[in-house]
Amino acid sequence: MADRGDTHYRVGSLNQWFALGSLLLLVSAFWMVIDDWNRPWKGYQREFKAMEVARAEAQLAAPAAEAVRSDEARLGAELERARQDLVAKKTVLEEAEKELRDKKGNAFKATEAEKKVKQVLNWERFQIEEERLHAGDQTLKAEELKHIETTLFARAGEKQEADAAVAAQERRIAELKADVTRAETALKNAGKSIELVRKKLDTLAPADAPTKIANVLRDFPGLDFIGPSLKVEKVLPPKLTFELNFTQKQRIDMCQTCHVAMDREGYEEAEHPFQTHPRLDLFLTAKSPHPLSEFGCTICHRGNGEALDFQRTDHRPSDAAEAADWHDERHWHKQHYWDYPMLPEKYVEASCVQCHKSSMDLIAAEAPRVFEGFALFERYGCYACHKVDWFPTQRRPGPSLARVGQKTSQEFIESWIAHPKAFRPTTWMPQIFHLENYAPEVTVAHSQYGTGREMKGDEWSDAAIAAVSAFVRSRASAEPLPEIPVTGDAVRGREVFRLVGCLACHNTAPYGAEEREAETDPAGKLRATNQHGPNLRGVASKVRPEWLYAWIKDPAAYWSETRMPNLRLSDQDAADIVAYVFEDELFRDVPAGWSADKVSYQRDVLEEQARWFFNRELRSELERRFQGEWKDDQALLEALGEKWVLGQGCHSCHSIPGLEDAQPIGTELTTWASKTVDKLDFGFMHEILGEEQGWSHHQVLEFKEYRENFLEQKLRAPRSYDRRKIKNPSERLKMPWFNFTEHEIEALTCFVAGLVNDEVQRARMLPSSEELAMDTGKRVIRQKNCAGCHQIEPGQVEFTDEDGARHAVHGQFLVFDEDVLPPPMDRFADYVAKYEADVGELEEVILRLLEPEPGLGNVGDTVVIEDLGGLRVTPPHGGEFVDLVTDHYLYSDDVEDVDGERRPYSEEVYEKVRWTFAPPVLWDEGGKLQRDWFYQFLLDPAPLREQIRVRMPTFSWGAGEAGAVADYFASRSNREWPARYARRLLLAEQKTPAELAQEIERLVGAKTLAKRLPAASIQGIVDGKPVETATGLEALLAYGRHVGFAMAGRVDPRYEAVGERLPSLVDAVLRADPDYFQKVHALVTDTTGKGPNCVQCHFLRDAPPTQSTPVAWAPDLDHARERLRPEWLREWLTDPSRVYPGTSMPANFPADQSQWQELLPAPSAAQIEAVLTWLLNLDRAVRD
Amino acid sequence: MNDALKAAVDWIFEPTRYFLGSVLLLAAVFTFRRFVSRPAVVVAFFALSTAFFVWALGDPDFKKIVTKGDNIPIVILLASVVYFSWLSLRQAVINDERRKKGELGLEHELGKQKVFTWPDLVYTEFICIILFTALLTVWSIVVEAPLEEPAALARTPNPSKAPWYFLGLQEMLVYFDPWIAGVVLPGFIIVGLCAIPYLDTNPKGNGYYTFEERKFAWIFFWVGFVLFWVLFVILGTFLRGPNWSFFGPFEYWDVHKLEPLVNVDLSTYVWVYWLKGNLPANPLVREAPGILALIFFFVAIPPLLGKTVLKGMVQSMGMVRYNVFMHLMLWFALLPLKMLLRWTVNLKYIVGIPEWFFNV
Repeated sequence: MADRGDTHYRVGSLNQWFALGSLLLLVSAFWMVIDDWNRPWKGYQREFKAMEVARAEAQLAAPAAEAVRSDEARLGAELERARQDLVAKKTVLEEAEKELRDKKGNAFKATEAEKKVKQVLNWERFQIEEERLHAGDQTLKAEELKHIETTLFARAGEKQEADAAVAAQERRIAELKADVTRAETALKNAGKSIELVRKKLDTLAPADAPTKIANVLRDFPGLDFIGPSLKVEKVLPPKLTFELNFTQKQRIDMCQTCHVAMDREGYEEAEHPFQTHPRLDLFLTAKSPHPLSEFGCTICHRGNGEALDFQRTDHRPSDAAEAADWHDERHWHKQHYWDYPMLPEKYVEASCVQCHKSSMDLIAAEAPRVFEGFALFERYGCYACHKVDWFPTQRRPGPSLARVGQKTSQEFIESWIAHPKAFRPTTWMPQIFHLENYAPEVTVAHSQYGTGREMKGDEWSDAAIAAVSAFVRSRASAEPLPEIPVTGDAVRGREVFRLVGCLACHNTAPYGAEEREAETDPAGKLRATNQHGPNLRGVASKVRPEWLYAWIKDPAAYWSETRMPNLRLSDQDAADIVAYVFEDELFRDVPAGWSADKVSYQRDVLEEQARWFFNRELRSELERRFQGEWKDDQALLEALGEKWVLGQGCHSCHSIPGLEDAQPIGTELTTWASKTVDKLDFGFMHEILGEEQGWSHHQVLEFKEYRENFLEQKLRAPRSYDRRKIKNPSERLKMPWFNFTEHEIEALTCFVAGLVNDEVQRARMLPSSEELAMDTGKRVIRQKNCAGCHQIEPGQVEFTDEDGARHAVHGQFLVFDEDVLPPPMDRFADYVAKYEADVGELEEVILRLLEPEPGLGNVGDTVVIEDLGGLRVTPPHGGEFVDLVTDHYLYSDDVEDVDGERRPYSEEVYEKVRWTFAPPVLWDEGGKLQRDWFYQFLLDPAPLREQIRVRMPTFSWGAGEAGAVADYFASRSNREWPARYARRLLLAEQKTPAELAQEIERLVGAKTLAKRLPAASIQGIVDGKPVETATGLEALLAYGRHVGFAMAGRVDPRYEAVGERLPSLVDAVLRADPDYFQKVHALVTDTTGKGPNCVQCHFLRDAPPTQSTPVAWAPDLDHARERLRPEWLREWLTDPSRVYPGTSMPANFPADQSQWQELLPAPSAAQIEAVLTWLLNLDRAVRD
Repeated sequence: MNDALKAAVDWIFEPTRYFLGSVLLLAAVFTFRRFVSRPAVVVAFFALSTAFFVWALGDPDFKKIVTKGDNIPIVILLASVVYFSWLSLRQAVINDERRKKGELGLEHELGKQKVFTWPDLVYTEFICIILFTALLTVWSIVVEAPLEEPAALARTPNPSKAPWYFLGLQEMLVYFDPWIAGVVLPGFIIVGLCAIPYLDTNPKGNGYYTFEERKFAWIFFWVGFVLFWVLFVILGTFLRGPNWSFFGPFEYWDVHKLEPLVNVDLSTYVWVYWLKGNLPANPLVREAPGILALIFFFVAIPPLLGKTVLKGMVQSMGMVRYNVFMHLMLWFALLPLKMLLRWTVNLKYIVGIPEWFFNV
């Protein structure tokens, strides 16, 4: 536009402005398009695509692919040859095909003709039926009907003929073409593996130009809104919601947009965000229990699932170093506006809690840290002060104080309350007084309402301790305990102490770590299970002898909720133990600096405390009381003591008469982790920590953004949030100090960080009744410390065999050096180090298999492992007490037996002692025992092995606990059965999983089996993966039936009837042979060498065995019918060493050799059945 | 040094000092307007402000609050209000000087009575639209949308802030009950704005800037808009933090910060403190001092002023317009009065009858 000259602005310059503006707009528009096109997640997707292409290309270039290619070339040539051959037969083939066409034509005609006749017949039949009905004559038109039927039969015959001719001709042609077809199939199969890769590569990076161009256009800036290949990936997990405004909002997780490969195998080593998620068998994949489509990401990881950039998702660094890196590289900082930041890597297990509340014990192996937190929460009794509404126990974790005066002295009580860890460093009792917010130099209050002298923390705490002690003692019964009825023998007491089972739960470990290293007595060694009860060192300086006697005789009488079981000790045994404890120096040993003294306190401090505690009372009234009813210190102490006890929460852990219904003092934690961080009072701790550690301002503030930081600090130093605060006595923090290790702090934090509002629907969280029983059973087993005495699960060894194959198998190491105990599985690395220092390089270890392992051998077979570098040992669960027992027998001059005689056992074989005198293993206890017997036994244990000195304790069970333990073992055996079946089958067939998979594939082709089963799934069943078991077991069982393999059936975890005891069955047996039981009885009890001489070792209906040395004794045969499952018994009789390797029980009925024909002429298998029936019907078979 | 300076700034920005300081500053600007309207002054002002800003950005708390996505426009507002206010003042000063010398005003220099819609209006508007669109596009690319936490009824954000343009109203809630601060006073603002053409019939200053001829209008506008509206927006945006507590520009927004708020009603002052007695039971008797004060304020002040100081105004406006004008002014004056009373003598309510939900 030209300048007219009469305008206010010059048009020329306006034009220039317009041009400039347009240019800027254009540039900004382009910038916008590019900015959108270049969003970070698209970059990741492009990068990943390139990775995938490179990978596919590498796969195609790999030697395996080369081999396939050369195979293909060879097979291609073969195919060509076959085609050539076919060409030679061209005329014959053409002729045959022509014939086929004709025959097909005939068949078509015949089919049509038959169809037509059929229709006519049906119509005619209907007509005739109608006519007959109306006429009332059932013979009408009979001839016509017959004629039509005859025609139909004729047509049908013709059709059949024609079809058969077609089929025959088709077979003829197929035979002609057979070579070509075979070659084609071979070619197709050969390339199968790389064909997929090729196809993938084709989609990722197509070779043809039009597709290439199209792909570029799809993702071109500005066009990529139409149908781009780079897309935001969303998961909408059904019914997983987010609480918002009292409404539930659907969760949407877009994490996969950047974390492209998280559910794909093969990217385990890749950098983030391309890394594969760990444990795909548990997470993300469709087969896993947590498929991506149903769970998404944020329900476990937290963070903002709908965000698409690094910052807004609220990513969380694992540690300070990573935080600094992110800060520098990505300008990362806490996303202030998101209340539920991602959990750091170390706490990610916290999320398990929200669904697995009722299966925490079951997930222990998969989520060890949060489970440990859960177990610590239970052990330290956190729930007693901090309510968690679903927590499975309400038991008070500390001993009852109802009769504390009988147990110990005032001096001990006061010193103990002041510094429990000074007497017993490992105690769970926390320190309550003399903590930092009552430190010696801290002024707590001024006497006389702020006007009098300053009172320091120490005086304050001492007065409080005196008050608590006075109160607790005043509430406790003062009734004295009776004298010990018999005189104890300390020497015998030591043996009883060691053999009866005390050390399965208790230890007497020295105080310092270094001293512990040097400790030689097994009783002083710390093991996984002997820390279940308190360390007993110094206990004689704590308790009174009469109390100890009464306590070990019947712990529940003193404290009804105690975990300490009743060992049914005789008066003499108990008195001997007491004598030993009070005579041995070990039990008087206390840490340096400990002495039990009464605490000294100031009267004016007591009065001041009363002024604070009774501040609702009138002041003048209080002052009057000081001169009146509280003039005596004792009365004032008791009155104050109650306030202190209620204020510090002593009653939450200890039962104190009169305070049974008082409220616990801690914050409820049921949904603690859903509380927003601004509700947590960090006090000045973030600033103090910042100063101490030189944090930046930024770090100081960030500390307050994460609730886990609050927890960690709270657990580390519970009163630290009072630092630099000015508080009066009633406002100070109360949580006591537990002296948690950093490891324990992390575990507890992990657990508490998982206590959130339920965001997952209830139905998803309810475990099946079997899972619930297993979880309860497992928990009870943990609480009762069954693993203290029993090996619940054998150790596992992972190693590489001579052929380079990797095995992971249950097993135990064997003695390979004379006079040396086998290498311990739980401290194998230490053993190797010590061996190398003392003897020389360890070259090999001998492993005995405790389960069949395909390719290695059956149960009881031994394997020599030479590749010690690749050896991984998972220690067995429990049974460490066994070592103590065997040590005692093998290294003592003589040991007292149950008959009162002392015998030497040092010449005995280790295994004999182990199986005879030590508590039994519980590997497949559910498969072995009848559930009802087991349950009754747990309630009221009766001795099974008469010679054993360890006592199966009488526990005080809670409701349903004993049943849960029995159910647990039954369910476990039931669950483990498929893996055992698969291993046995592979072993029996001498096949690897791959070979078996091929065989099954062949049989599916041959229609013998209905289902395919890939090698990986077979391996999964062998490894006991529940998912593989659920999907593949049927096919495996079908194969087993096909090859005639049989193994005793699975355990029904509910009640099972013993079929062998059915009266009808017994009647049938006796009808066939009235002397049947007499014959078997003669066989079993024969002592002349004509039978297996069972009664040599076994008791029989209380009759002692003929062999008089207790080491050879075996259980009463009369127990078997109510105790053992027939399936287990059958296996046991067949080959005992396959059940318990090393057992003294011989294989009396070897399959390859028939014995005892004189007394019971039958093959071994029939003899076993006979003995089995006899055993299970012993009450009927043998009449007195 | 740095810390001392920051502490000094924080001290200055305490609301009483901030408000009274701004009043003084405004008075100074008007008094020394000839000096202030020099370009060198505004250049120096902006240079110093920029220097301060750059220095202050080194402080993480300051940086956090001024660079928050939705606060950036307020920073720009701050600069543009200063600049345009200064520009108008400068033009007014120049015009006043010229008039004093008998010359024509600046607007006459253009020599035009009329300009063309096209291109002078439409074309320039169009260019502005284009430039502004480009600016907004770039803005939306560079500055992230200030998204906050998902809204939850049971858990409102702390601080809960009104949109920036209403922060002045929100500030009033500190001093008045919601029905006054949120209903009556905004209502009077609207009524007052509507009434301007009927109250102010003075034709002077139409089409040109002048200070001398319209002193009252100038002062009233600057106090009403710049002081009470813009400065309250700034106060609300930058200086009010969690729990609506006051925070200096360099102070961390600590949720746990405490402020003593022991405010006392006028009735307590009168009956308890001065007369040393108890509060009367009858609310009307109890609140009589406050009620009388209010009656005096609204009923007695207009005639008193009309008879004395504002005699000229009554004459020029007539009784009706004078009274309407005075009442609007009195309502407006209630705000600074109540603020001053709160700051100086911790006065809670002049009339406080919670029994009837009537508190002034």
